Amino acid sequence: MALILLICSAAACKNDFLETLPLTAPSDKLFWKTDQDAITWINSAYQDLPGADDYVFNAMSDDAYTVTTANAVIANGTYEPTSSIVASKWGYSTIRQCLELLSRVDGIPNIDPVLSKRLKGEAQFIIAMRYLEMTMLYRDVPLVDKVLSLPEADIPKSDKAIVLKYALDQLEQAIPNLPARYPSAADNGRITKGAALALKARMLLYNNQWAEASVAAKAVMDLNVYQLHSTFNEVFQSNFNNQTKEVILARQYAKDLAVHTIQFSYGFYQIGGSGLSLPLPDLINSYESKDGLPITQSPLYDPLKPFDNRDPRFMQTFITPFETFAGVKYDPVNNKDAKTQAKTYLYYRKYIADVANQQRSSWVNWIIFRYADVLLMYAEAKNEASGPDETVYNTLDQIRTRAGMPKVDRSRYATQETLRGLIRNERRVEMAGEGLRYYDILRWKIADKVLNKTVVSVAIPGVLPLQNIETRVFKPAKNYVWPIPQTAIDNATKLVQHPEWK
Amino acid sequence: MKHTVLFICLLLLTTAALAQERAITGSVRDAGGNPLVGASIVIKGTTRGSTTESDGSFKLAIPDRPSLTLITSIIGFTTEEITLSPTQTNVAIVLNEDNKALDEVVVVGYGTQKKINLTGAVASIDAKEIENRPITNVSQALQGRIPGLLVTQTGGQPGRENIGLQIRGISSLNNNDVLVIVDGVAMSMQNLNPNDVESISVLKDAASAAIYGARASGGVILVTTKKGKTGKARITYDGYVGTQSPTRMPNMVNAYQHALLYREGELNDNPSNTALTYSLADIEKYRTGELPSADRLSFLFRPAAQTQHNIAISGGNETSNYYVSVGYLKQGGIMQNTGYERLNIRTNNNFKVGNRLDIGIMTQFAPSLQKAPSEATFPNGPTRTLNDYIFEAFRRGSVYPILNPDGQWSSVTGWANRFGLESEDGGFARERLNRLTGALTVNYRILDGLSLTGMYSGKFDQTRRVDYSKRMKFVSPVDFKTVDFDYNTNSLLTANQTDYYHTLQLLLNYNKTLGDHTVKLLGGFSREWNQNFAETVGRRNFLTDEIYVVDAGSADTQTWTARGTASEWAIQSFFGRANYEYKGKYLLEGIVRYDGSSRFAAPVRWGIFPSVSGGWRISDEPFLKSNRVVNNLKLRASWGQVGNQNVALYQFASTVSTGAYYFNGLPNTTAFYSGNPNPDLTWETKRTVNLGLDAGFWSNKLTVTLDLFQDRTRGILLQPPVPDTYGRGRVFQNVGIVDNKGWEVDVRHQNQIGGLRYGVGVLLSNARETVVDVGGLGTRISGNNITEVGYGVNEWFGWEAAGLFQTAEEVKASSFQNIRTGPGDIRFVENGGNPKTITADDRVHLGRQNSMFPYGVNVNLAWKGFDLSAFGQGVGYRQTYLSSLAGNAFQDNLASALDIHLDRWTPETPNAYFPKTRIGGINKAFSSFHLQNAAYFRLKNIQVGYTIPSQLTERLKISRLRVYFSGENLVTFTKLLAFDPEAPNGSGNFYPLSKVTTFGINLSL
Repeated sequence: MALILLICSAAACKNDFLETLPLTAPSDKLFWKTDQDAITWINSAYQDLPGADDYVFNAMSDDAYTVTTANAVIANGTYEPTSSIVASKWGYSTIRQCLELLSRVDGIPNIDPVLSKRLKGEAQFIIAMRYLEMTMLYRDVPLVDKVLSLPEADIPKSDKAIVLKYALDQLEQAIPNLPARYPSAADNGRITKGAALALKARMLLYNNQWAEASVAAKAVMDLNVYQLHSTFNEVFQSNFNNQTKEVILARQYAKDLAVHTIQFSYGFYQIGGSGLSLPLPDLINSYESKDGLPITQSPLYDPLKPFDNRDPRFMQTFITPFETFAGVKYDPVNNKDAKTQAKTYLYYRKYIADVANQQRSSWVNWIIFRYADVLLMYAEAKNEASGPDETVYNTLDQIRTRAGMPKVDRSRYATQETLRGLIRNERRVEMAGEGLRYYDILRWKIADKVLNKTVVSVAIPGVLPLQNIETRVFKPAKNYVWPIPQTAIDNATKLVQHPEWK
Repeated sequence: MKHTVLFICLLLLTTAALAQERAITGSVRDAGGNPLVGASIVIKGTTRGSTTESDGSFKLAIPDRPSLTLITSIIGFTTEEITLSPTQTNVAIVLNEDNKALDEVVVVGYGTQKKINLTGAVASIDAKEIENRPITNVSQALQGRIPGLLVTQTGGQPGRENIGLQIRGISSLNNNDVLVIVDGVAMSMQNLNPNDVESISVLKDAASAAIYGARASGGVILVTTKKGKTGKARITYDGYVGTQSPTRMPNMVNAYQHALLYREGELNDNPSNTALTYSLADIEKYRTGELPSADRLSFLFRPAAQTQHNIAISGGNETSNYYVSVGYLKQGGIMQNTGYERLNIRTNNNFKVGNRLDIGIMTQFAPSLQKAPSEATFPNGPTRTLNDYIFEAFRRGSVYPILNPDGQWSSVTGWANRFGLESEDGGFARERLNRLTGALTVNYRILDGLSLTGMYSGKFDQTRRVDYSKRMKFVSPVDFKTVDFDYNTNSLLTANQTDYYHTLQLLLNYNKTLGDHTVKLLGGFSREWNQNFAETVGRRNFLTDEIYVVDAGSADTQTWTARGTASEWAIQSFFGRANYEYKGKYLLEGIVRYDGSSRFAAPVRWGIFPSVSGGWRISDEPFLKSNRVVNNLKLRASWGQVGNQNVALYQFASTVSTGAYYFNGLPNTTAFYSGNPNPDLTWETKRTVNLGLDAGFWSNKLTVTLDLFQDRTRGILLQPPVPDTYGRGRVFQNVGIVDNKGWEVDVRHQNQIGGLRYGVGVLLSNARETVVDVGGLGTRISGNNITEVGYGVNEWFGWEAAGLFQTAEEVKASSFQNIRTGPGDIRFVENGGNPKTITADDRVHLGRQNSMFPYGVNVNLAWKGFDLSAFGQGVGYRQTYLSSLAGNAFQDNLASALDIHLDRWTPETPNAYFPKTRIGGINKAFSSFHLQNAAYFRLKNIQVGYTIPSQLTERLKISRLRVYFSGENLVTFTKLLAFDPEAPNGSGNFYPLSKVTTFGINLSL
């Protein structure tokens, strides 16, 4: 009876019985109230900066081969709109995250105006970064420039030029508002003025706006914040995360907490690697002998000992057969498992040089911009804009000197044409394994030459037999642009496929 | 073994019981004097007997004993016992028609209803149809038993069977799960002891389900547990022991075949390739056995034991009844390091206090323990879900050794070996679920016909999961010395979850009969609320692998885990039902339910769900009343509306979640919108019209139930795809309309020929949905599925395959597919868009994804003490896509192949089933080639039993003793290649289902 009464009273009582609110996550009504809210918001967007997964770009180019069938499709020309790799650089969620900040941050009561500008600058940088990657690969993409409601969100593609103009405009706004340095080391890894200028240089360079690109690169140099690190190989070691003046912006990792698997991707079998990026002879042969001459001309080059007397960066960039690395002898001839994987016989050493005991987890930061890249961008842009001059030679000399190579032979590389060849080669050698080569062969329009061939292994007569690996096909009418991912087209009504891919 | 000996001894005893005899003759007739043919006459306590001839007469030799009883029975008539006098030689037996069928009662929402008075579509099964099957989850008992109910079991992991229930097909674009009510309380059938179940009712149409309003859109299943019956105490023991083994497993290629095929694939992809993974010399070594071949499936899966014991005591008198049971189930896992144990303790007691007050108390305590491998993952180790482990068995080829000759775990490609991590050497996860349910019911009869019932019930689930991952070393399978991978972090994660679920109900019942008019009224109020709290704590780097308590782990706080979540929801409802019956022939019922749910915001929170139904018992009309063929005929019709609130909690609220990004090596909090809110979200509603017919012929020797239905679901709770440019996830909205129509047939025949009683039942149903409006941006393509107006939900969508290319000329003459396409590759059909190239525009509908035509067949026979029952079940239409395992050999460069893939195209075998072998590559793209017919028929259960004659067992004070053999899932017919036809769509890496063979006994004192 009491129970019945209890039920009756329950029925009669409060109306808020059905009123439940989320218990675990705060409602957004409580957010956008403090400076800290805005900082945590922009922190989230950093997670979409290019990271160690970008190693896959090596094997899209003539630098490397990958055994991962899903990733090999770009270089061998078999990719389709449905290929998973084609969707890897597509996406608007980070752009929206940044646009939300731009529209909300000034609504925060009493926000520090300097902080507000800086945060907006970080957001604008990340927006520009996303659009640069997307326009490089997909060319024309939808331009989202404000927080869209769902009914507004179904939009068509915009021309690449319009998207780039917007992205460049965002960067221009960001540059004055970003600090050249952050006062606290705790902010190491945040976007700086230098990073924004470097991105501006890259964006202009990638789009052949040579003069403007050289100005932007020069602006980074003139900040006097950055310089080449004393030794080349330390730049890519986890002990030097945020410790060198060379790195302008890097995707941040942390021991045990935020790790990646670059060793698995680059390493050889016995150190837990899988050889997911195997350097190809094209790349190997682009390293000069230590006398500064191409191997085709250098008397120091011996085809029977091809790894000797080379540019010092050679041994700092690659693991070569029969050497002992991390206490393990790499033997692709006598060790069956090593042999199976080592299709080209060489592996990348850059980024895994200090990972001897880290097994499959690495926390070396992935560099997005470093000073050497800026110097190379300057050299390339300036040479293209106005031909060789002493500033061009000097920037190249800085890089070569740090690497332990002779300065540029002025007479040998006296014309714009010959110097262009050297600059492109220097860029390839210096930046090998950093995921940039694919963008370079697209913008230089040389992909149809360098990707239309059968890739083979390195060979040393009597020691390492030549192996044919794969036939690659690049159709210039189609393969200079990636298709829009099929899922993106399926999810929308106004987005249509590029004519090349229809 | 012991049991078998007993069985044989008892058999011998029966034959020894014969002595002096005399003859007797007689006849069996009905009350009208008509002879009954095929009636069975058995001497009580024996299996001896006779059968009546066409004139109703029989002859029988009986032992010469002073007192002897004959039991006479035939289907459709009550069984009679007649005691013969010592000298009697002739006997005339009269049997009366059995009206029991008229009194059969079915559990319906908040009450019961005589089966003959039902106006909605309600099907039910009772305990007899479940008993003695080695099922571990009550849902399994329903498979193939209820027309219109599709039960799919897509996993066999002990304690986690992944059983899907679907009543009448797909009527929504969202999930509208079946609402399961156990003894009046909404809960899953998990942890319920099958032996405790008295009956299960399935409410299929809106009219019968509307009383559960808001959550009834997917139909309702009502489970009722056993109660004590008036009479002397009854003690029963039921138990079995048995073995399980996987049902239908694919065969992997052996190492030799793997290497040979892989080489072939590499050469197909790049004919000039000389950097081949397997040299001819290595392949020869695999062939001769010099290099090992690991049988991965036999390593991971093996037979396992299963036992159950159950004791129940029940009884009652005028003022009280009781039912007490204890059940214990132990199920080994057919996959290493898995298993399940469960204890069920239940009491159902009812008391009368004075004349007006009844009190009922039900309690159940059901602790269970589920054993599984550790799932802890570390940054440098592989992912370790149960599916990862199973996938590993299928995916990695036989070329990868599992154990080195010295017993150490082999490394795999220099990394961890998931089989090692899966084993007890790698750790364990132990999940204990302690379920306590209880209900207190108070029923007060205010007046004759008017009563008030109050009920409170609670369900308390406490789950504790301990996951401990051990340190391991993986040693080179080449030199057996080098530690290729040191999994040097051990860890403990302890998760505690508490779930409180409460229900309060108040029912007012009024029944009144005035002359030919009978009225029944029900008014009710109910309130349900649920709270859930979960916390997980963990540490790493324990000194030893023998202590499983958090405090024993490393003090380094950076490696600690501490997480916690909480959620709550509530539902409040008012409902009423009115039944009117005129002369027992004309039946009318009306229901209305008014529901409020916390899942929706206040202005759109409440929904109203009405229904009406009617029935006409034609067989009670004068023109049929005395018909000797048709004994029951009823027409039913109903219309009703039910709701669905199946969305995640708090969809009305926009929430901010946090994560971490690391600046300078240290964590910084990140924030982002986690929910995609829609404050206008409200009920999805389904309207159903149902027409039904129940018929019984020849005293119910043949019964037929037919149902036709049509429903329309509107305002579907759906997350339609959003353009990628939106930049946020999908939002739940009330969009879309789906129509669904179908039919159900249930035909049963039971009869008796002499001593042989038999029954046959066949049921078949179908439901087919059509999308009327998709909502959102229109036609919805999601990977290989499409939802488009005029078609079914999520139909298969992709390229249409037209066999394999045979020549280079054929390739050239066809639309361009891919630069690598050549002879032996799958040929796609040009269906629009660019006429010279196969593109996304050429994708077409490839057929329905949803299964159709579920059916069941059961046969049972009883002869003397023997009984046999066989039950088969299947679906008539299912097309499935087993993507990564069965679809192609070598889905990627790390995968292997199944033996079916040996039947592949080569220039010498142009008519092979599978295309040319490739590594990953172009033949992987989803097309009609990859769809397979997974229709099946399965002998779900076969059981042979023998009941020892009671004259033998009574000496041991045993009133009934039956021994039986049972086989579950013994035989399966399907065209599906390699896998079990109940395999879920997808990669095929699911915990295999089991064949179970058991030997058991049923004993009553």
